[in-house]
Amino acid sequence: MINSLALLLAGLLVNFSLFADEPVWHYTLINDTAIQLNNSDVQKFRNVLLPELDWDLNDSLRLRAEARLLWDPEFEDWKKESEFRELALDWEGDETSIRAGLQQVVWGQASGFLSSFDVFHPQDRREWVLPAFEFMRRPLWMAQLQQPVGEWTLEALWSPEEKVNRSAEVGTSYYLSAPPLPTGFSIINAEDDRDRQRFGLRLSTSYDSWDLAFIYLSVPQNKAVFSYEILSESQLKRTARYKRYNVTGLSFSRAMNTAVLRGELSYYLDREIQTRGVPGVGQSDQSNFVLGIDMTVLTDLDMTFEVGRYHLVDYKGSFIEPENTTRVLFQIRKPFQYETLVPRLAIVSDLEQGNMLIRPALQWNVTDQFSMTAGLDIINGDGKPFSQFGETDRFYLSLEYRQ
Amino acid sequence: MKVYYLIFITVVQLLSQIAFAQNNDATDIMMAVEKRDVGQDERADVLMLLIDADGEKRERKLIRLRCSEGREEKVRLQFQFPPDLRDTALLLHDHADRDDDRWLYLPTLRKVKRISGAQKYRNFLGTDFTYDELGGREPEEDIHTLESEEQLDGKAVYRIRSVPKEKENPYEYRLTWVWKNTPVVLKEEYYDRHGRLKKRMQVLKLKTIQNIPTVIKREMVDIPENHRTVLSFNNLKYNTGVSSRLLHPRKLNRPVK
Repeated sequence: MINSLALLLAGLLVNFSLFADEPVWHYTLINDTAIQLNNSDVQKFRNVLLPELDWDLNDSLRLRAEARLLWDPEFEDWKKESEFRELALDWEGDETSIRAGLQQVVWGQASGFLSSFDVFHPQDRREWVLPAFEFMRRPLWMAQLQQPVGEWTLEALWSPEEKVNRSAEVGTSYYLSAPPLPTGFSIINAEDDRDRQRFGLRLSTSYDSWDLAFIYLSVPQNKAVFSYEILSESQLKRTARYKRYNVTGLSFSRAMNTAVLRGELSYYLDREIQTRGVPGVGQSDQSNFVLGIDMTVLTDLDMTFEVGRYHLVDYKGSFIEPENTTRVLFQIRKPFQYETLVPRLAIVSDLEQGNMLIRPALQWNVTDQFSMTAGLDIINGDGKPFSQFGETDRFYLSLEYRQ
Repeated sequence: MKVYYLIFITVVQLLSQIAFAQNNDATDIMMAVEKRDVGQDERADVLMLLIDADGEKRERKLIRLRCSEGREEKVRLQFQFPPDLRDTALLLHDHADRDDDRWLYLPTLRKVKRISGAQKYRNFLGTDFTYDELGGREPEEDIHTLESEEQLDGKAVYRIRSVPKEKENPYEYRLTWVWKNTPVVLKEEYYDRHGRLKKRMQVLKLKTIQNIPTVIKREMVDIPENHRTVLSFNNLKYNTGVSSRLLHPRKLNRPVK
């Protein structure tokens, strides 16, 4: 399927290249070094080249491509990578627009840490949730349609892909321990049970300082839920399941004087949940509510506060996840010296478990094209998964050149 | 047909200039600046040159698209340089009767975000212009007084003092020099809450494009910081038929080239 899409894309390119504008190339070079605070070990020495291409094939058709070439001699299970991050054709009609190819789409109003709608894409969790979400999200081959309907805009997404979350390997710094296994059995791993296609619909409008969007998603779970089947007195079959669930809800934002109020209300229908013991899989609906506020005070001091509450409606005592989860996010940022020096702080906390991720950083835009960022990633707390990563607190320095 | 159209436009402009010259009430003058015919739409390449006290220079490049309908105005700014802002887009819907709507598309987030009106007092992309000073301010937001009629670089001008109505505005008042001949702002001075001169804007180049007198180069100087920004409009064209669909929040993720 994907090969056919790539071939079709290549054919179209050859056809259009005779009439197209000159392609525009850019690239970004990044060196990202992190040093673990407890033992001064170099955790990563990541070198990334991001070539980008924008090519107007005619007045209504544009090709956009971005690749990621990564080399890191230090990071345990992310040493090399070369992949397309985007390879999509954009067609703009008078009213309708279509985007087809490898791409990322994000819906909803909350930040990546708290969002209840940012579930369309699987993520690469080899460095837990520390990289930028754009870096972590695994792009998907998909088609996206946008169509105005009166004062509203209808968007539809479809992806045939079966990608799922990629997690850190056993024994690496950011490996998340697997759910507890039923004891006394030897485990036989069966083939993954994956639902493949993903769909999404969004109907949105802006009215009197309000932005409203009704969202429906039908997606497989990106994170595995393991089911267990007893084969004999000593053998157990384990299957990683990535089963479909449905998401419906509303996102909103409203400007109010010096602030913007943002929020998400959503409901997950029939989500599979990991349980203790056999068969390992339970099912529950989940209600989600996220409310955030962005404020600018003292001319240019930007502050964001977000709170998210997630509730398992059909909670049972055997579930590994808690019945209720409350997460908060606080961000503050102030530019100095004509935005050449930008200190910032982000704190994410899981209130029930007392977990906290604290991220102070200072960005210096040395020139228009070269910047340096130094910061800390402090992981604190006794709950999962923060307690596992307590030793990984780190200092990082990021150098970035953009052409 | 084209000749008749040009004659019609010229006559309308002449009449509006005569009417403007006769009416010297400060609010009317500022309203005339606001309501001046600047075409139904506009497209321009914008270059902002930032020069610090040591003479070090930085650049900002963007495309500006505007569509107007009466006093309702939609402006899209499509950033091109520096590279970390490439493909970022800002959309302003300027309403005469209520707070403006503002959206920002950030390619790193892949999202269009609504942003608040409080952003209007902050420096735009680290330049010396605030969002407000780039044209977002309505005449009704200030109390205007005509201070004098004088000469500025050989041009007869009105000097108007404008005191902001809102308390959170960082300035105590602003002085504006408006050309008598045609309602164009030629110079502005911004005084802080202690009455000290904070910033000065001066028009460096004025050109008539498609019969519309147009400021194509102006400079804003931050006096205490000795930092200035030179703003130039290149390839400016009016009434090009800018599609209003490009000025919709859902279209911000597709960069204008």
